[in-house]
Amino acid sequence: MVDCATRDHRDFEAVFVRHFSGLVRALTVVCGDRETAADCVQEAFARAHERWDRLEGYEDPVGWIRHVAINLARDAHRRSRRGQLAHERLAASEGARVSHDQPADPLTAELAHLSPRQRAALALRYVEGLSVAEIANALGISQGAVKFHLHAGRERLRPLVNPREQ
Amino acid sequence: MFDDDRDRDDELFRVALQRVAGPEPDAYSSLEAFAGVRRVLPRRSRATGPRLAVLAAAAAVLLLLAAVNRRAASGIHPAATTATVASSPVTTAAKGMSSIIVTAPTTASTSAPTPPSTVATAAVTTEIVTETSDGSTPSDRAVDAAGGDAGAGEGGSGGIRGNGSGRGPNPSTARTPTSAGGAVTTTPLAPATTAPPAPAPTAAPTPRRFAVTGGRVTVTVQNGAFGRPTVVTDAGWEADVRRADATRIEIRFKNDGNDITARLTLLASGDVQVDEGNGG
Repeated sequence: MVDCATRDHRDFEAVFVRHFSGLVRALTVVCGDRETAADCVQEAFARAHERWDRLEGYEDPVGWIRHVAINLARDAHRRSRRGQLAHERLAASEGARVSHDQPADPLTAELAHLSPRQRAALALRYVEGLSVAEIANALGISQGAVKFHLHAGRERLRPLVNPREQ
Repeated sequence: MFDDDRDRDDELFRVALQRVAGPEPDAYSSLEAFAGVRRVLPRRSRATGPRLAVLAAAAAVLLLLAAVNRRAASGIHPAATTATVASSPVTTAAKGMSSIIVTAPTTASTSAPTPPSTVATAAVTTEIVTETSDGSTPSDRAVDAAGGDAGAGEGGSGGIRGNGSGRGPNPSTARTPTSAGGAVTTTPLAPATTAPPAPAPTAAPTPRRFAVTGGRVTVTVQNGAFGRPTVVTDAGWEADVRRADATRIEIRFKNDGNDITARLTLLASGDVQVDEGNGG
């Protein structure tokens, strides 16, 4: 007989092993930074572990983890954006040359100019392969809004993804 | 044809964003391989050690208080006990109250005032100060030791969480954390010779409810002053609340033919006197 704690641990472990990599890759597109994405997903799993007794009863516990991870990524993006603005203010006030890392890949650079929701919608759709309904659940918005963000994001990136259709 | 274009479009975006997402991260075949999540696993068990230490300290304090009260009841001067006893620093009426300094075997120290003639397990405010395991700043918390909720701490910080009764540290003693071992010295203030006329301060706001002509009034009393009153008028009545000062509130109830003023006065004893009169 397997006791409940061991079984719960195995359930959580199975979810972790199955979804950790995909979430990190999707959030890499959202954050633009692999390390930040891994930190956010790790924190989301850590929080899920603390509440696993409750979460395992959910219809989609991975959705909860994904939702938390995306919120954490959004917070991290805000923080890094504030730091970037501070750098720019410093450069403007002192005339100093302050360099911050610019992504070499033009697609990554263009992704950074999308809104966070557009990035998240594109990442969940094309990296994690979620449906519109699942994306809506993860982002806490309607399916119509998801379609709008996907369309806007695609139109913005299309020149880089498919130059012939310009 | 349209579907084919859309599928091709989707495939292009999928390839492009998969490239941005990068390769698969290091494969984790099990949770144990992931140090980040493993970090949270022992969290519940880590809290057990400090929690037991706090419970042991609280039990020791209760035993000491019981011993002190037994000796006081049997006529032995409390100063003969191992605890340090001082006269009450607050009022002459409370003469004989004792301040006890206890240094527990753990890093917790406790001081508690006890009325000598009451049972030891009556509500006693106990302050337990602990120091975190990494030697950081001692955290001061107030717990109701008699409530038995001293074990509610969490998160391995070694702290204690009270039971939400809102009881604060004893205002009659000044505490100074010492540098080593987390021990705390409790210094009784100089005894006062006269009792202050203000009503006894209460830590938690006490709601008082009164039914007067025209409605009902609920007001809280805290630290010798009225809080914000809540007035519920009866049908057809209107109320106008005016706060004269911290201890007086006037509520004017009006309807078509009546004009009643209810005056609430907080007495020095802590009671509330309600007077009703006509007009303002």
